[in-house]
Amino acid sequence: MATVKIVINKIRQSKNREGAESGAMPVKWLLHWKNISNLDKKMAEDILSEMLKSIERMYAVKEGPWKNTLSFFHPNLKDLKKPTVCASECLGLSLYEDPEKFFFVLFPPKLVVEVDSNYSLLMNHLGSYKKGNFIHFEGTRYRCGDFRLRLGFASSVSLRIKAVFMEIEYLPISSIKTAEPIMEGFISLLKLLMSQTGIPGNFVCHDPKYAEFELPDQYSSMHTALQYSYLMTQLI
Amino acid sequence: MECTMQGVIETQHVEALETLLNGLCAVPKERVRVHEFFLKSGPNLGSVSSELQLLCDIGQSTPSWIVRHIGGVMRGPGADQLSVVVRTMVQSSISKNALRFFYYLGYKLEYETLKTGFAFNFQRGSAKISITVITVNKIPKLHAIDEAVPVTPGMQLVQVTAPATADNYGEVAASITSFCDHLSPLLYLSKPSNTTGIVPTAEATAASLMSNTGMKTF
Repeated sequence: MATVKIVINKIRQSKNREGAESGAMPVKWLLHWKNISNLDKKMAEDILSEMLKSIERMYAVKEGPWKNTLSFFHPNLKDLKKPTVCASECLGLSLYEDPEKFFFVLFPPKLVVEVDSNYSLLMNHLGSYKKGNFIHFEGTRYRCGDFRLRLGFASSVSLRIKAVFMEIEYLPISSIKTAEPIMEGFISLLKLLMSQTGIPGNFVCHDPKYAEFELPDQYSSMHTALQYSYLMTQLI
Repeated sequence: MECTMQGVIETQHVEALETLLNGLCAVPKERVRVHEFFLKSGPNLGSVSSELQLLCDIGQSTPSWIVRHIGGVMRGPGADQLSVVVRTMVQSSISKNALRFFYYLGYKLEYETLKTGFAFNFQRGSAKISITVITVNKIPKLHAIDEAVPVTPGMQLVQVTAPATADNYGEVAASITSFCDHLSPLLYLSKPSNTTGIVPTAEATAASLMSNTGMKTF
C-alpha cells in the first residue's frame, strides 16, 4: 500500500507542474486484458472483479455507468459478384463522452472522420452502406484522483466477443506526448496490483499511431474513436 | 425535409434586391463563399445510385464542411397546390477530410462549383428562412477555385429555403410564399423545376428602390 501511495502522490505532483489545458480533452489510453485462454463469462467477471479491487486500493470512487458502441458498415452492393471500388468495411462509433457526434474509421486508408450524430439518418437516405454487427463497450466509471477510469466488458452476441478492458483518462493534460510518462507510471502501478491477484494474463495497450491518421498531439474524441477501433481489431 | 423556392435576377438589380431584403429581413447580411462538390455513388453501390453534396464554407478563417443529401420531392395533389417544393434533405457537419472519406466509400466527383454572394437568415412565423443571392461559378480544372467562371454571366440565382417537418411543412410553405410575394415586383420565385426567368417590372422596381435610398442603377 505504501508503494501505491507514493506513485499516486507522484502523479498528483505532475498535475501541478503541467496544469490543465482549457478547451481541450484529457488524454485517454485504452487497455484490454489479454488472457492466454479463451475468455468465458465467469472468467471475464473474475478479472473485472479483481480490477475493481485493484483500483479500490487506489481509493477510486464510483461515478456511474457509461457505454460506447462500435458498428460495422458494409457496402450495399447491387450485384455481390461484381467487383466494386469501395471500402469493404467502415467502422462507426458513438461515444458516451461526445453524444452530439459520430465517428467513422477506415483502415486502410487510415482515416478518422467526425460527423453529427444524425449522420446515420443520412447514411440511411444514401443507402450505399448498411449497418451490420456491433460491439458494445460498457461498464462503470470511477474517479481516482486526477484519473477517470472506465472499466467494462466489450461484448457482441453476434460476433461472440467477450473482453475486459479499461479506459484511463488523465484529466489535467490534453497533450498525448506530455501525458505519456504519467500514463505509463499509472499503468505500471495497475500491472503491479493485478500481478498480485494471480489472474492469468496481463494488460495490453495498443499504439494507434495517431500521426498516420493525421491526428494531432492534442487529444480529441477522434483519438478515442481510433483507439476503440484498434481494440476491436484485437478482439476479432 | 425542407421547403424551397428559386428564381433568377439580373446582376444589375441585385443591389436593389439587397436593399429590399435589408428592409424585409431586419438582420445583417451574411457573405456566402462556398465551394461545392457534387458526388455520385459508383456503379453497383447501393440498390439505386445516390448523390450528395459536400459544401466547404471558405468564407470563414477556418473552412467548415457540410455533407448534404437532397432526396425525393413530395408529390400528389396536396404538394401540387403548394407554391414551394417540399423535399427530403438531410445534412451533417463533417470533418475536413470529408472528400477523401467519400472517395474511399466509392463516390465519384461529378463536378464542383463555387457559389459567391450573400444571404439573409431570419425567422418568419415558425419558419427559419434563408434567402441566398448567388453567382454560380463552374470550376474548369480540379479544385481550381481561382479560375472559376460564372455559369450564367449577368444573372444570379436566388434561393429561398426553410427546414420543415412532416407536421409543419404547410405552415412553413405559407410563410415562404408570403415572404416571396414581397419580392415579386423584382423577381419571380417558384418551384425549382418551374423557374421562369426575369420579371418585366424588375427594372422599374429596382430604379424605384434605389431612388428611395438615394442611389441609382444603370
